[in-house]
Amino acid sequence: MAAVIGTFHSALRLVCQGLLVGLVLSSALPMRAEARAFCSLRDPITAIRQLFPETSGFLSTVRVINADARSKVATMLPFTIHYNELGKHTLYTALDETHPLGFVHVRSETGPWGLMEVAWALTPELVIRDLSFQRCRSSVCNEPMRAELSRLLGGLSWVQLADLLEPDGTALKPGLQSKYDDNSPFVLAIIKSAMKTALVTEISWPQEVARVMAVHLSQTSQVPLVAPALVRKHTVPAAAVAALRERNGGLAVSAPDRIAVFALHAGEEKRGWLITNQWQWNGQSGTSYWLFSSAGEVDGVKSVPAWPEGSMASAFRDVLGRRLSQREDCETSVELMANELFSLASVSLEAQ
Amino acid sequence: MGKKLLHGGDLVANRVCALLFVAVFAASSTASAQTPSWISNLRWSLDTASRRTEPLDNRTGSWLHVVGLDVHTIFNNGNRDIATLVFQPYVVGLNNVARAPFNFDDGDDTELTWRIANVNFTGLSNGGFNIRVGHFEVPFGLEQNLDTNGTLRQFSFSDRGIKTDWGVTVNGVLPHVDYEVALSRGSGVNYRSTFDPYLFSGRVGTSANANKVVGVSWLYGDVLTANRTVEQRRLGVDYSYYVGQWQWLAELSAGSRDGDKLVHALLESTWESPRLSWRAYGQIRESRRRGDLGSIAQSQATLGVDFEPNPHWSIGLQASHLFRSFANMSNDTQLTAQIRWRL
Repeated sequence: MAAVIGTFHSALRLVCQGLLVGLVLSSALPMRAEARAFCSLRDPITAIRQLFPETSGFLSTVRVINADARSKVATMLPFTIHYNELGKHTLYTALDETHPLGFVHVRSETGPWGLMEVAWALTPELVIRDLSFQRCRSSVCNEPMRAELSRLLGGLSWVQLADLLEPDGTALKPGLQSKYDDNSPFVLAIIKSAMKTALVTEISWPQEVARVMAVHLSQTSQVPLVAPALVRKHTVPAAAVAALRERNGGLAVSAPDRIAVFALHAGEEKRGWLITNQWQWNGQSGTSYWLFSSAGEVDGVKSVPAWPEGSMASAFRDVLGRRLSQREDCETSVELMANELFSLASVSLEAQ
Repeated sequence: MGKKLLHGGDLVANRVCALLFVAVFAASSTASAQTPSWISNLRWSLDTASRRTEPLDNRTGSWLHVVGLDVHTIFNNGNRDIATLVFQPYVVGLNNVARAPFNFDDGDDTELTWRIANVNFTGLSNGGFNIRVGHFEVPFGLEQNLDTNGTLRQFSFSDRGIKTDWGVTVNGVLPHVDYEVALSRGSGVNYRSTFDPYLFSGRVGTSANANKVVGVSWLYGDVLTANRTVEQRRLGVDYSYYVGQWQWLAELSAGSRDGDKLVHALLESTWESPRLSWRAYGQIRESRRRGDLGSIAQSQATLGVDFEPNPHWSIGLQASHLFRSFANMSNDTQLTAQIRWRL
């Protein structure tokens, strides 16, 4: 008994000493959540092969998912990522030789039976392509369920996935609720995981997403980009936006403060820009991706989710291959957008 | 203590690793858009732990303190991954440890040790064939898929007398099969060629992510101890079953040690809380040894609990009771407590 008490006192002293040391170190050093020893990290090889059967390799990109990302997710979704999910995570770009096919991102989600890990396959546009259960200790995580979820969620962006849930994100829409019945909590957890995965990928890996989107968009251009394409992110100066607005008497682009410009390089050669812009129309919103050559031609343009109307898609297709560096050459609002984005990109590059 | 940190055959390795230690810290603070991938992909953490072991048979307890660096990074050629580096130098301090590992001078020694330190060249194929060089866990049994580095919870490595070793492996993930085959020095934590040890080991198993995992392992060689090598031969099979918050693990191995026939079995039942912050486990180990002097047995039961309130802290408590042992230390009960902190 004396030995047991002695051990208890030793353990208590040990805990207190350790807490003191840890508190001192925690206040002096930057905080990161790195619970597992790194020797236990494993690449999801099997999942990557299942999700991208045509892949011949992959590229890992490690980035920090920080409190800022958590806050952004909270502003865009009715839920956010858990504090324990902060820290360094790996995004895998699946490759077919040198051509990027899309992304694999493994995320943890609390399910009805505990923590599960889901490997998500995303297209270059960050649309759900497929999923694989990386770790799920329940019999519900079987192949028929996986295939069912793949059919339900495939092709949807995080914006479109939100349409499957109640506005507060706590339940499935009634139609899905009755369809999945007892499995509804599980399906809800999976959909939330998909939404967070796509959005966190966009927020925390902007350069890798831009690089892959640029290569993807350029495939229909005269000189396709071949990976690797180095990407440097540039900030559009607020003063430049204000000056352009004053000069033009207004702007055709919406949310100019959220424009992101990525300069593309292949070796020492400048290959143009990828510019992302947020759009809103009739209560819907999305992200448009513009690929400009270094000479200013529009090599590619795409929206995620897709443009709400066919006429909009046609209007954006009409600017492909054109150089709209002079405002006088622009007649439609889409042409004005292309001109403004190219002008702002040029200014942001000069400002660096 | 200081002179013990630079010791014999590890002198060069220690200096190289110290330089890498400084380089890692310097490099990790210079991240930018032009940062080389191995720096931007860098994960590092300080890892400290203190462990108190208290025997209940009036012997004095012992302390073990560790402080180390845990580094992981990924190299690519700008296009695809080509290698992964894991680098874990740890300073381990013992205080009144009764049976210190032979790489320590005695139970009150402090040494710089290499927990895991290797490069896995992954660019040769799409994950199906990789080559690992350096210091790694000997591939055998349950150890292969479950992390027990620095934890109170351990599996069966003590039966084989070796957990980590220096050498080279081929490893990979094939459709439905994970494998690793190693050829290593046989000297354990430190690289020693005295008495010419060697080890050939490997494990082939089903996918580690499944809820039912089966593996087959082998180990063949001469494992270095304090003053000689011990001939070790093993064949083993392991099974893991996961359902909900429960795990059931089993490992059975048979072979020989210095010519004596040996059979070892381990059973474990584990419960984990939904967010993995609590783990409670119970283990039973049974070993039978038959040699020229007859047959002897060793039986041990272990109960443990781990608590991780957040990604930085973990607290472990474990009680183990030896019913009978090869060394004739029956009814030996030990209580162990550990606190661990990672940056």
